[in-house]
Amino acid sequence: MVAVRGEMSWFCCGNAWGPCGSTGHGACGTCNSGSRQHAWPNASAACLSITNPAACGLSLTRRTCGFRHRTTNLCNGAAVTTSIADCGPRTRSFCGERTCCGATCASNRLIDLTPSAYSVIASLSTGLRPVSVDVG
Amino acid sequence: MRWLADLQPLVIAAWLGWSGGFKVLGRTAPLAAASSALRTLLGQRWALPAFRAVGFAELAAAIAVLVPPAWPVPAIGLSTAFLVYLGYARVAAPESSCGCTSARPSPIGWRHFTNAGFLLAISVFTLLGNGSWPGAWSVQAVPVILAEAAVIISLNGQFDRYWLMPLRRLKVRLTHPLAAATTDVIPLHATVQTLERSPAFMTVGQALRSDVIESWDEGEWRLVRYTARFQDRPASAVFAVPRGKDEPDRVKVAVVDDADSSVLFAA
Amino acid sequence: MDRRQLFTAAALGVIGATAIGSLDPAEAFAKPKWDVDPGAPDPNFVEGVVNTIADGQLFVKGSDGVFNRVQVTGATSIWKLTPTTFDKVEVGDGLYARGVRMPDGLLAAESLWVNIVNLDVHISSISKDRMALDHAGSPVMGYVVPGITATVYNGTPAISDMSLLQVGKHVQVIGAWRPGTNEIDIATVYAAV
Repeated sequence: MVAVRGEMSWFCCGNAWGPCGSTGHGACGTCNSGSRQHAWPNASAACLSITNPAACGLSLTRRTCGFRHRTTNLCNGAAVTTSIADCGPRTRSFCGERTCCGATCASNRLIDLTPSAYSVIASLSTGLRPVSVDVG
Repeated sequence: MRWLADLQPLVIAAWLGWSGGFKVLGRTAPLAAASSALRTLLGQRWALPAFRAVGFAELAAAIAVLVPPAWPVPAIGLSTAFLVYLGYARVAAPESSCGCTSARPSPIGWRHFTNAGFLLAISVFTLLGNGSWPGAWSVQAVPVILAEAAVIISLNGQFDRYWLMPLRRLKVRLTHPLAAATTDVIPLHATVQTLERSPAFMTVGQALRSDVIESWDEGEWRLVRYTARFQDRPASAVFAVPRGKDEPDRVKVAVVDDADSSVLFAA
Repeated sequence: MDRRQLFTAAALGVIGATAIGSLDPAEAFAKPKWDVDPGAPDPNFVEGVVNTIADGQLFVKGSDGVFNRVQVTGATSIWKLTPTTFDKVEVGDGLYARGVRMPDGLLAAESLWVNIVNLDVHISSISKDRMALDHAGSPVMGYVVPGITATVYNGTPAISDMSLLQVGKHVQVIGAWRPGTNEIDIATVYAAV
């Protein structure tokens, strides 16, 4: 897989506090906010019909639960390797959205990390960062 | 009164036909079944077959009430059973969706109960009629049918985007409710966005160990402080960001030793 | 000179840097790598609800029922809708904490995010100072806080003007959950227009 550039955000899972109280453990049944995991837009056919990255011109390889990706924050070079535990993000709802670091920019929602994974390479309060995603 | 009762089969059949048709033929019916309380009640294996069976029952009830002589008893039975099911779902699986006519997430609420209650009421009302809607049909029937259809549509969240959302958008356009939110204060997030795009941030980014500790304004600058680590020495990274201007190239940074306040790095 | 005056002077270049010789800044700033298996729980991260607060420590009950001790110092950043101080953390608050796990099991926190949520929602309605949000079918009330709430349109710099937000549209909201409720205070809205 050639590294893909896009935006990363984060999400909670695992029946935790607040709005995560009823989210369950994600599409794979194993997702927890405190684990090094992520959501992928093409984790299954059903997933792809919800996220529809093709609407934004993105073609992403089907990768199923447990598959590892390596996400690199283009702002500071920090990277984290995580495994697929859920379906997301909802790429089609943010087509064309762009986030930049210096002269480096990336478009479209590509990956959602758990709070544990996101906070390794960025601050949770930022919500959105340009990244490069590769096979982990 | 009789002619009103005779018109009800048209509304009942349309509603049950729509609902049954979705359950039997809908492309997203499996998704609706999986997210409904049927999964809790019957288990994953039987949720979809049960969902389809309810759909067939609704279609049969629609035909039974529509073809004269109207027989509303199946519709009454289904509406009653549906009310009981909604009560069960609300208690046993409150996060489940109704799944009634779409796979759209819709936790059980007052709209679903009211809708089921309305269907039950007009099904019972049909018993007072002659059992033949063609005889009751006239121009006066149209507003009655339209009014009942409007009630059902307004109670079904699936149709909100066609009428409720446009109405709310119009209200916002006319009243500007969030006008007071616009202030002269530059949001901290705007400063952080400029900062994170700056060469200064990219230089020391890997040294940062925290999120924003504090920020304060000094003239045309906003200062933003993070905890940092410089060669294993606890330090503070302080960025000076032009306030209110998106000029990342002008961002400056200094890394200050927490122990002796010496400036370890500046750019 | 107080700390803020020192920091301001240093950042604006009024006080120069101590000579660091030929040391490569990239090397000086390199972050230690944490090796954690993908998919595994992260030992340097804590999530849960604050159960007790004592002597600069938080006793946090995780979603797995396990209690963690989190040490907070002056070097810990604390986010609760906006950067704030330790005295604003309350029992019942939800939190995420990243730091360094000590041999005795204590987490020395570097960053604390209290009640932070990141929600993909539809805007159901907009009223004065609030927005009703639909979070996968569940209602969430989002309160606008003038001076803090900001909106990012198509990735452009955040502004306080929320007039381009539309009922029925999909947005992403970073906010602070109000414990025990389905309400949040909104920090940032990301919207495509």
